[in-house]
Order: sequence, then C-alpha cells, then structure tokens
Amino acid sequence: MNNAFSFSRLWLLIKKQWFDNVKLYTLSILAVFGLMAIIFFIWTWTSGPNYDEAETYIIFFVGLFVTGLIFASISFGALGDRPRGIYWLSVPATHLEKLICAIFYSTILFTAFYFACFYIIQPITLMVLEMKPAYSVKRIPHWNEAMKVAMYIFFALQALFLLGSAYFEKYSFIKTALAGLVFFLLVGLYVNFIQRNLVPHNAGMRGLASFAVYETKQMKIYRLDQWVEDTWIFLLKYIWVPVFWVAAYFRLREKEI
Amino acid sequence: MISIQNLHFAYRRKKVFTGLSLDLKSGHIYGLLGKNGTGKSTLLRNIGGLLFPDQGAVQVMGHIPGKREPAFLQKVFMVAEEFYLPNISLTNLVSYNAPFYPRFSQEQFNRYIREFEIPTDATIQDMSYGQKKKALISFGLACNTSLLLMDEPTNGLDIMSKSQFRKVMAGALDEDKCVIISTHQVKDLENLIDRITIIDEGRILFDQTVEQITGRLNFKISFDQEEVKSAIYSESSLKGNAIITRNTGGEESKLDLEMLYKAIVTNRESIQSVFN
Repeated sequence: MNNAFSFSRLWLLIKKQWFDNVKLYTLSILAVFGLMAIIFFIWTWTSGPNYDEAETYIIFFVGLFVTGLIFASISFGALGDRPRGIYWLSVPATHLEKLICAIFYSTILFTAFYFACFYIIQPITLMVLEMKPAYSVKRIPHWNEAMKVAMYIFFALQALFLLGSAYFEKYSFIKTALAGLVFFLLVGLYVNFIQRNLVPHNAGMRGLASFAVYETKQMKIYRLDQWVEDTWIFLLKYIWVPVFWVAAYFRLREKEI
Repeated sequence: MISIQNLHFAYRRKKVFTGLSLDLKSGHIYGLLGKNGTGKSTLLRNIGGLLFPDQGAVQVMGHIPGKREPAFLQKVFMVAEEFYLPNISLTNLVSYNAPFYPRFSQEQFNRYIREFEIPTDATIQDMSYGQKKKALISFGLACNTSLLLMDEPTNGLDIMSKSQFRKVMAGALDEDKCVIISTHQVKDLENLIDRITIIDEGRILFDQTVEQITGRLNFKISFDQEEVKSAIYSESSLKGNAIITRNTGGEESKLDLEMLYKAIVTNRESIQSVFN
C-alpha cells in the first residue's frame, strides 16, 4: 500500500468531503449567489444613470476576499472540536491527501464557484442596464494589472487563512487576521529599521532592485541586474502560497486531538 | 499486536502516564477500567495515533500510530465517547466511508443495523444519541479492522441496547481481531471481556485474564461470619455478604467485575498477592 500519496484515495476523500458537507456547501453557494445578487441590485439602484463596470470589480474583490478568507478559515475547523477531529484524523488517508482535499474545496472549487456566480450576475446586470436608453455603462476591455495583483494577494491570503485554520482551534479567522497584521507590522518595522540605520540618509529604494542616491544637484540611480528584480517579483507573487501550504502540511502531521 | 513500552504522556500541566508498559494480543476483548481522569481515553488515543507519546514507544501491528499512515488507519477503528457523524443517511455514510476500509462487509453492517433496530431510512441527525452510537458501532464492527478501540461504548445506551451490544460484540470477535473497551460501566461488559486491565494514576494496577482471575479468586455470597472476616474483600448486600476469597479448591464462580474493581482499588496488595 502506498502510504505517501494515492490518487484513488484522494478521489475517495474528495467525494466523502462533498457528501459529508453537501448541505453546507449548497447553502454557501446559494448564500454567495444571493448576497451578490442583492449587492448588484443595490448598486444598480444607487449608481445610475452612468454606470462603470470597474465598480462591479470592487464588489467582486471585496466579496472574494471576505467570503474566500472566511471559507478558508474553516477548512480545518474539525480540528477545533474533538469529536469531529477524531472523525477527520481517523480517515485512512495521508495528511497530504487531506491537505490537498482542503485546498481543492477552499481554493479551487470555491474560487470557481465564486467566479461563476459573478460572471452570471454581472453580465446579466450590465446587459439589462444597457437595454435602457437612459443609462450608459462604461465598459473595461479586460482585467488590468491591479486586478491581477489583487488575485495574487487573494491566493496568498487564502493560503495563510488555510494555515491559520490548522493552527488555531477556535476563532481562527480573527486570530489569523491578527497574526497576519502583527507579522506585516513587524516586517514593516524591520524594513524601516534597516532603511534608517544601514542606508545613508540621502539614499532610498526605488522599486525592488534599484537605489537612488540624492546629491546636491543630481540624483544617481544604482540598478542591480534585472534578474534580481525579476526574482523578487516572482517570489512575491508565487512564494506565499506554497510556503503556507507546506506549513499547513506539517501542522496537520503534528496535530493531536 | 500492541506493544507499549515505557509510555510517558502529559497534557500541559498534568502528567498522565509515567512509564506505562503493556502488551495486548489479538483474539481478545480487553476491558480497560479505571477511575475518571486516570488516562483510559488518553491511552486509547495514543494507541489510535491521535496523541503522541512524550517518551517511550507505542507500536500497533508494526506501525507507529502517530504517523497516521493509511495502512495503519485502515486497520483501526475508534468508537470515541464523544463522537461525530455527518448529517447524512446511513446509506451515504457507508457509501463514502466504507471504501477506505478494505475488509468492510455490507452484509455484516446490515445485520448489525437489524440487530440494533436502527431505522435505515432516517438521516443521522434524526436519530437519537443512542441510535447514532449504535450506527457508529455497527459501522466500526463491519469495517472488520484488526483493532477496535471503544471508549465508553455503552454510555447513552438503554437497557435493551446494552444487551444488543453485548450480543453483537460477542459474535464479532475472531482470532485476528483485538478489541479494547474502556469503561466505567463494568456491569455492562462483565461477560464480554476476557482480560481486565485496570489503570490508576498512570500505571497498570492490575492486568489479568478472566480465566486467571476466576482460577485464583472465588466470588460468592456468604453468611458465614468467619469466612466474611477472612475474605480478601467483602461487602454486605440484601442477599448476604458478597465476598472475594482465594480459590484454593478449584471452584468455579462467576466473576463479579464491579466487586473485583472495588477490591483492587481498596485492597490492591491482597489481590495482587494472590497472583504473584
């Protein structure tokens, strides 16, 4: 028997997870759909007669962050309750399979359903508005860079809240949010400390791999190789999710009930 | 089957085991007795891989339980005192959980459900606590795992259900299986258990088979005051004095588990001297 990973076991686990929680998932989807429909209704009511599609993406991202992070923070909710924890940990599957199953529901399936809800409601709403001659809708041609960055941040935060749900038995959403805030505050203070004490007062960072040195009448830019900046950008975009998932894996392995 | 060597375990402030050693073999139903808070459930969770020893080693069928490998988990089923079952029908419970247990028998499950008189058309949420517990016990037994861990399995069961439980359990054991039942309700399991292990303050107070116990101790009712005085343990009852004496004449008597438990807790040295 393969004690490391098995696709058939993972599939059994995904099926079991679905049928164990089918009511919760169905109600959650309906709630997200209903809530989004209500918010769009309020938006159409209050924003006319000139509508901007970009505003719908504010609704999209606020909803995505709120519901996505709440959903991620209950991924390992069973571990906060002894009977449910025993039931969950005793299922004959590896910790890796259990983690992948949680990621499948909290990240892949949730995001897919959320996008589906949005892309059902938003086009219908805009289409209805455009049918009315008195209304105008300003369209955006495609996702801009800020929206893509927001998605990277979302996946990173979602992985963090998944980890938080494995770490904190109770109130994992609040505790993870606080831990995240403290972490970023400490990082900010550290960067500030470095900048004040190690970098000369007439120098400053410009971007991720360039420094500006201000002199009386001129400014010199020192730029590191492009690959340094590329590596920083790559890491900032992609490193968080695997780091938090790996941490969650080790947390599951050491979890005792 | 199970080897526990020098087990040390503590919750944050409270030490539970300080060097507990125990060997358990297949083909037996072990009764794990002890006062509240002596570590019976903790021991079961260490065996089941839900808690990890601070020191010492626990091995179950060649596996280290704490690793929680699928090969281990599919050979172990735990009926916890406080248990959880999802709110689905019994049919779905079986459909989506049984494939994890290669030796699961649908036919056995149906038989246990019939014997326990559990309504098959109801969802688990509609069932009473006792019915849920019986459903879990039925599923656990039908999984045919080599090791079945049961923590207070008769808690919450009515009189008829307890009788059904004993009947079902008696027919479920075979040479390859080992069942460990942790309980306070010794009367419920008197005729079921074939080895009795009593834990107190993190150590094994008593560990003997029922055959050894009844071979060396005599459980009877006596009106003879001299016999009562010389008994290892006695207590008065409406029928006379219930006593435990040394079984020197090879007499056959019926084990009174509750009385034995009380005798061990109150007069451990005398009882143990009989077995040394």
